[in-house]
Amino acid sequence: MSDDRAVIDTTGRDDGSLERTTEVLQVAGVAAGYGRIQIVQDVNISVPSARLVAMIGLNGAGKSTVLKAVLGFSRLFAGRITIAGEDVTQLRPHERVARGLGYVPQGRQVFPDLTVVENLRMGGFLLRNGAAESVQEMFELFPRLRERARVVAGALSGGEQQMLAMARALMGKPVVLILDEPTLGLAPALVEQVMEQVLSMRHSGYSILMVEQNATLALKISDYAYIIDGGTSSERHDPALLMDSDEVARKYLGAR
Amino acid sequence: MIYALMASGLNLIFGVLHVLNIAHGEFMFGGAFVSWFMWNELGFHPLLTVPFAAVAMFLVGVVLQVGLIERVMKENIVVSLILLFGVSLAVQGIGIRLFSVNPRVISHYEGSFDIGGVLLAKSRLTVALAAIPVLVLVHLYLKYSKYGIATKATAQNAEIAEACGINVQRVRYVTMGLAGAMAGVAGSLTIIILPFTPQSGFSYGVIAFVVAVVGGLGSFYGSIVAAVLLGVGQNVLAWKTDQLLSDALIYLFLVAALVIRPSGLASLAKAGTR
Amino acid sequence: MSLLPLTTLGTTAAAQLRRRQLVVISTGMGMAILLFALPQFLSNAYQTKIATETLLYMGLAVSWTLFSGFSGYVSFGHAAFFGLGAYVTGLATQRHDLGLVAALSLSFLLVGAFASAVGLLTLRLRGHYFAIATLGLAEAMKATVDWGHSYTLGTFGFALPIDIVNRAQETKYYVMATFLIVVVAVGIAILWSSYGLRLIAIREDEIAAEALGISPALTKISALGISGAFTGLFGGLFAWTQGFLTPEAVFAPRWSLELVVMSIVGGAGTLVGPLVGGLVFYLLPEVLIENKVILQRRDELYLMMVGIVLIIVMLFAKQGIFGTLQRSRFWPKGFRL
Repeated sequence: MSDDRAVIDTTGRDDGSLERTTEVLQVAGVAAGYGRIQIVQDVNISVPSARLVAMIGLNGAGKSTVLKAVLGFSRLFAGRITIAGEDVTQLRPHERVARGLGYVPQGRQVFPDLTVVENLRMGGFLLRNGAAESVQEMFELFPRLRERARVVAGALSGGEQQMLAMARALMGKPVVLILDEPTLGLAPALVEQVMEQVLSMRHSGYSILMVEQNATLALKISDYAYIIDGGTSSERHDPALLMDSDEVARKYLGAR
Repeated sequence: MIYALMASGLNLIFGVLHVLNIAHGEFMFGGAFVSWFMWNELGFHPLLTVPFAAVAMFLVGVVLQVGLIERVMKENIVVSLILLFGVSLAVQGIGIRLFSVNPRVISHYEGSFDIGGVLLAKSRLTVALAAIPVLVLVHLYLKYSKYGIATKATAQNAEIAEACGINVQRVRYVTMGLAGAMAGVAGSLTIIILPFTPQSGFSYGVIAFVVAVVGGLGSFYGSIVAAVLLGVGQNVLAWKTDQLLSDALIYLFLVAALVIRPSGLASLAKAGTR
Repeated sequence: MSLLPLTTLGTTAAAQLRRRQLVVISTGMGMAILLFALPQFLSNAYQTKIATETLLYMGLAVSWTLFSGFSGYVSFGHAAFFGLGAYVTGLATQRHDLGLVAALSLSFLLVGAFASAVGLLTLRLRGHYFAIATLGLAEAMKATVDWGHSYTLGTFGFALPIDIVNRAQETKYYVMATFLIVVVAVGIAILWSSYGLRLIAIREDEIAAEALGISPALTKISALGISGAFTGLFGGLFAWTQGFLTPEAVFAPRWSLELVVMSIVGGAGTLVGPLVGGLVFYLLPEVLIENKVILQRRDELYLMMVGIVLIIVMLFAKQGIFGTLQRSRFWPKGFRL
């Protein structure tokens, strides 16, 4: 770990009040992997309310493993995960979702044989009532989806599927939104569009933890950033400072 | 229609659980004997016993899933298959102990209807008509109810379904129960037409499997189409030629269908709509 | 799993492997001698008959393993090969006056060719699709035999010519034992050859195997052909030892299933497994019948017991009896048998 990484002083930078907001998601000392293989260890991440937190790192650094640990899909060897102060370490994935997680998976995974509306209904599976209103809200947010409401999701374009995946996650009115590589495999024009959507979700008050390969983009729009390197990540950085750091530029942004 | 009930249940199980239920015929036996017992010993009308058979086999399915299959879900598909073959043998054994190997039949419907020169046995007509509402009911459940859609969602992508807050474990329980209930209905309807022994279920199960594969593994509707084609084809052939040739041709057709289109009728339909 | 030929192994490793193979071969020969001596210790023809049938089951299970155990493609259709083999021998002797040797050779060759053809058509299917495709095969064969009754003598079957069938039970035993030893020897030869390694590579990861330059199609089809040929041969031997056959008896799905069960419960993907499985599944019930625990094969208590054994093995020892031993620390690591 070199010193030119800007570590944020969490007491009283810019308007102070931000830093006192509650942490909606905390990952403390987590070691995780699959089967007998441990991939990441000593991961510490926290997502404050209404903030966009990005996690960047090289391919295979374990970014997705961390997200899957948060959701409960990978095996947890050590550590604790809390959502809005509640310890969810022992809970199964669907129970964590009930505590306020929303997940937008990698690679635009929608339910291909279900229609757009059915996909959204599944996103709102846990809503006791008001699912129909939530669907309408999503149509307000993503008008394109309204036009394609009765189409099976497998027939949508890549950009539309990404929209649907996001809308599906929002249906459950999540406390924290987990985004796994939202721009992976999208055409450049769509990348811009998706990032704008992420930003607008951030502005409408969602707390977001995002993993993104395109580090430049991620650092541009995020409030805080974590770098995962050698399967470990603990320090919260200021994205603007990271962008200026030579080492980061070399390693993650591509030397220019 | 009977095969439609069996094969579509098998396909539900395969789609959601990725398990080949070689013991599916044993649900059928269970349903058949619940009905036979209620008709013979308690004097129920045969059709009235069907819901009881369905509920009983639903419960058996859930217990089977919770108690045994859930434990080997992560293993190779062969493990669950042999496990279920064990269940199948054990159930046949218990069945013979309880009911002996003598065939039983519910001889309630006698005689035939004459429709335009074609003779239709009353029992067969009743059974075909009784099976349809069950299939429609399952269809409506899968199409419109939240849990039905969640079942399909789980079959398509279990991890994402779980990330939507769906309790996929419970979906698996219910799916096994539902498929068990459908096979139970199939059994309690079959015993109205044909004699049934504790070991008959197994042969029906094997045929249902072939039908399910022809329809497209994991595809609910493909298997219904395949079952209807098989039933109609078999009867028409048996009527036009002799019974033996028709049996041989049907099997040859099934094997040919597998070789030409391994993913079944469903993929054919999909290719057509694209 | 290494695909290196033996010569590239270190000399000590190669020597160690040679030594182990020698131990296996000498043990195998010892057992073969015991097998031939066994009839001396059996007190009556019935016991010899049971012993003969046990060997038949073991031989069938080994034949199945030659393809499905090694390649990982589970076949549920071996009853088709078995039944066809039985019918070829039966009809060759009954209708065409062939001698036993000629009839059995015909079973071996024809069924081998048939199995290869089946492989050519179905082995494009991967994994479980193949398993189910084979499930319908035996039923189709049975229906065909029923339909062609003018030639096959129909649903009620037929008896083989008396002068062919009428042999001492001991003779039948020795013939069966010989062929069991042959099929086991072939199995060992395959397992220790580069051909066996290719099959196992396909089982472990077909795509990676293909990337290494192995032709999965050719390997699989030839293996199914060999497996089918031996299954057909044992089918012919069954027809001969029984002296009577019906389509219902030889094409029954239970043949297919019992082969799978014996092999996997004995030890999946191993050669010793099917032998153990054959003992457990054929001899054990007979011993129980002798001692009047159960009344007959396939009676309800038998079904229940087999069922429960299967459930327990699959829940607690998924590699089967011998497979679990082979994975334990008492077994030389990486040494396959």
